[in-house]
Amino acid sequence: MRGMIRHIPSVHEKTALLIINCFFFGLLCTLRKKIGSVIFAQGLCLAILLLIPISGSAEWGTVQIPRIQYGGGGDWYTDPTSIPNLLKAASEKLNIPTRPENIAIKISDADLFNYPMIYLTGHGNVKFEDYEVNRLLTYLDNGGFLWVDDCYGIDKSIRREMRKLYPDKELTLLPLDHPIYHMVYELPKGIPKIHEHDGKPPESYGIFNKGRMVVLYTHETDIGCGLEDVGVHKEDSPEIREQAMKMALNILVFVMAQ
Amino acid sequence: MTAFLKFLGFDFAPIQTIEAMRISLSWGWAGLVLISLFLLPLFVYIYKAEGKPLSPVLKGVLLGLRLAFVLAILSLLAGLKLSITGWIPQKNKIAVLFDSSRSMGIKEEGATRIDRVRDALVNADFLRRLEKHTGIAPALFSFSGSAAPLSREDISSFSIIPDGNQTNLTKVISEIGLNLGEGNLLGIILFTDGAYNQGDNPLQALSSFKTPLYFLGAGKTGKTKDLAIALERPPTLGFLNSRIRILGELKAFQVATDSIQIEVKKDGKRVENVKVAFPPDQKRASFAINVPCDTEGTFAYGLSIPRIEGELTYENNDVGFLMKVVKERLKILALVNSPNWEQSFIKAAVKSDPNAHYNSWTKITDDRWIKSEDSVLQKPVSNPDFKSDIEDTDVLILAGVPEKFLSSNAEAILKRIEIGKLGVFILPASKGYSELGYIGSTLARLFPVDLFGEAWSGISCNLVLPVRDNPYGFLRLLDDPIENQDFFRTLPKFEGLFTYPKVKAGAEVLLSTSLEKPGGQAPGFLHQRIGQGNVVMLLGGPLWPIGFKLVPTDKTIKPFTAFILNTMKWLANRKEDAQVTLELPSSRGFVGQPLTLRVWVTDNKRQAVDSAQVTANITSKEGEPVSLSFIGTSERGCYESTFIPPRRGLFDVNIAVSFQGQAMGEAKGQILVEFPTVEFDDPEVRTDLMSKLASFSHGAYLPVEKTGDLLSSINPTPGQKQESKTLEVRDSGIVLLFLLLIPLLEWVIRRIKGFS
Repeated sequence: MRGMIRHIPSVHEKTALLIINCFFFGLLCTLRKKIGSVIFAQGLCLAILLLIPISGSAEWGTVQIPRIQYGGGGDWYTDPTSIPNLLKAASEKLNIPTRPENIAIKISDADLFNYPMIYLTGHGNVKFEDYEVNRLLTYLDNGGFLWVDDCYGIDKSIRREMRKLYPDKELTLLPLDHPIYHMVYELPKGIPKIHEHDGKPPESYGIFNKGRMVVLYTHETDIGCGLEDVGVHKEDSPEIREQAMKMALNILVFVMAQ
Repeated sequence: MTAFLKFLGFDFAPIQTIEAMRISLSWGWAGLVLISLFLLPLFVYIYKAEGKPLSPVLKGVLLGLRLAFVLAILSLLAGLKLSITGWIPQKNKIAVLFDSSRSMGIKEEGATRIDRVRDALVNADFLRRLEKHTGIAPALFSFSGSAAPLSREDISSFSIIPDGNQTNLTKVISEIGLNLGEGNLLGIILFTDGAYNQGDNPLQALSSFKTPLYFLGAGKTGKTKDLAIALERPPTLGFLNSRIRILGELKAFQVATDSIQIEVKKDGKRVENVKVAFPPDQKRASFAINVPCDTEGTFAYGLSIPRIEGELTYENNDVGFLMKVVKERLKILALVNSPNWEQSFIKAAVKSDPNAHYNSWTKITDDRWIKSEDSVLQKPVSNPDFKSDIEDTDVLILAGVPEKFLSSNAEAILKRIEIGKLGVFILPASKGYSELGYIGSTLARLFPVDLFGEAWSGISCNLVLPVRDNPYGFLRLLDDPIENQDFFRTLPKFEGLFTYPKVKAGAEVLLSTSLEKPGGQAPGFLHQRIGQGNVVMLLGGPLWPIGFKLVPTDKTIKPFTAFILNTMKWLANRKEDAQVTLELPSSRGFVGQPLTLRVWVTDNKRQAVDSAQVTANITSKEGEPVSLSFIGTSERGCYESTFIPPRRGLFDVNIAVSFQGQAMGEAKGQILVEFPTVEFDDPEVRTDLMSKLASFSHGAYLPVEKTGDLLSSINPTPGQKQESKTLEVRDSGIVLLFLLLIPLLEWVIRRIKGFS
């Protein structure tokens, strides 16, 4: 979760900058006739530049969500703009510090434990090696969270892999009164339908460990596609895209708050 | 010259031999010259103006007398003085010190160390011979933690009892040097075994000591056999259905063993036996025992190791502690400004304890808050009311919530902290607290720093556990203190740190960081006390990777969970819900060692009460009860008294408080008192230490059996001391007489010659 770290000025520094700026601005106005309009304009630009650090802020603990580069042949790289758009919206609407980047990692990567939430999507087969199952289990048992979004066609393989991960736990259907539908936005009808594939209703499933949801599986909805840039999926209306974003923000906030 | 000055009436005492003399003026020589330049010509002019017919010789004599008089007057006015430097004979002293600590009672080859001292004194007739050799009657002292004077009769009857619980060689020697005057001392003679166990290391602290130290070492090396058990700050509070880890150390001197069995007893009944392996060729072995807290109440735990024949002492074969097991759940409330991973991981850590109850309010947007009650998310609300949650919580986690949301509860929060019902854990706000309205507000008191001047340093840094021994168990994530320090250093780094120009008075740095600032390392984790409650503040972040990232490398420890839970339990600072609260520094005490008891008094409105009458009645199964009166401290509603346990055993402390004649309440506590066994921790005679100290100070070391040979090492030559003295010339009556004689002589000459 390394973010761009900028220095935020202290109150002393801000006050000093403000006083200097006021003095400088006053001086410019007084001498406007003597120095001419070009120099006055240059001075004005400088005054504005001096004000920039006053609005600076600390950026630490920024949220990033990498996608999992899994084996088995599925297109793990699909919907590349979905997560950056989600993170951008989280920053703009909820003031959560984020880095809206499309990052891909393997379960075996050392970086896995830098990200408390990971994202998995695609259309084809998903397969975890044994060592990946063990590592993912450790990750989830100790505070990590996996969001699996079925873009269409991974249902069979992901259910198989989840059984490898938690043989004694079932994917549990989340009821409509589950907090995940009410965190930021009220979604009384549950998870929205973004793309139609098999005519089945959209569903959310969870795997719970010691009372905490560790895996969320969104099926027959295609939230990820709904988060993509405008124009990527031309059939998506702004309302549909908004519904996708609302659900995704609910998911993000639920994972952080649960 | 000396005779002349004495004739003038000057007293040089106590200087007997004058080495140097200097004349000076109070005004300075320049002052005298300037005034002379003005007055002397004036007098010459006046003198000449008389116009008398004089012979040249007489003229010269009269003028000389006149000028001498004027000069003398001016010199006296200018403060003529004599500064004399000389030598005064030294009144020599010599000190003889007898170690009366408990280690002097150790018996080797049929005789205790103190017996050996007594025999040596008698056989060598030491004190009389010393007096004859030096011509000085020695000053006599006994010592352990400090020195106490002895009379000659005490030595004649040899009434020294080795009952001191600690030995502080550095303090004792320094005090003797200070009180008798280091320069006056021919030497300090110590009858001791050299076993110090308190204060600074004498080898370092006394390296520049000028007085010769003469050691007469009592005892035999390699003859002491002992098994000992000691505990390291045992906890006093346990939570129902949890386990408490007890750390301790076993010691074995001159005992060949590969393991020692510890018998654990609870209220006198054996609960388990633990076998501790002893590494080969080692005298010490650490151990850890997990004590289950499965029943509510206060329990006396005892740990015993076997007694072997001929042991130095059996006092250190048993050790005990009191532990109170409470069933109340640890209630934690987090107020969070925005969803973040920190909260998610803290909650997970807290949930690992079945006794912990975690509630949180998380702000999603300004008009949407979500409550999590014991980790179950509730429906969002637009205007949350924290009041009831704050009143019910033990620990408040403040995570960047603006002051405006808390202002209505500010007084309640501070009051609960002051009476010890609430602890606060402040996590860093994403953009700092200075912009959240706390500056100048009531809640500014919460912060152990001055928020004005807050700045973010985006330089990643490590946490650093200060080297000093700290009393906070929540900072002990690994048993070994050195490994614990290294462990903190290797934890995942903070991305950055908020820095503040000023840490408030009374606040302390629990963890510093590797970030260098002018004046040292920037603090990372601060603590301050508000009344009876505690507030800690984390200045950097994020914290969660500490637990999360370490998981794959070492599954056996959960440092993050331990750190969070330990800190929360400490912050909870559970007090009995009473107007009178007894605060004991420890549930353990040692015979003869003072224990400071504190009592907090509040009225039924939970306001601190000053001027209350606080008394304590301390009883045990044996012996007379002890009554104590408490006096008020600088902290409001706090009273203090000192109890010195007279014997071993379980003591009941009953506190009674009255105010203006009305009884206000009572409080009770228990103290388990044991014998201090530190004197037997390292029972060997410290020959090396004594030899080195003697060598540093140009003294000597001899075994006590050779006491008679020590005298030849002591130089009895009396010393001298340089002294300076200033004599004012105008104080002398003879000088005044001379001054009067000058004009008289002039007048006589003039009369004889017929000029006046």
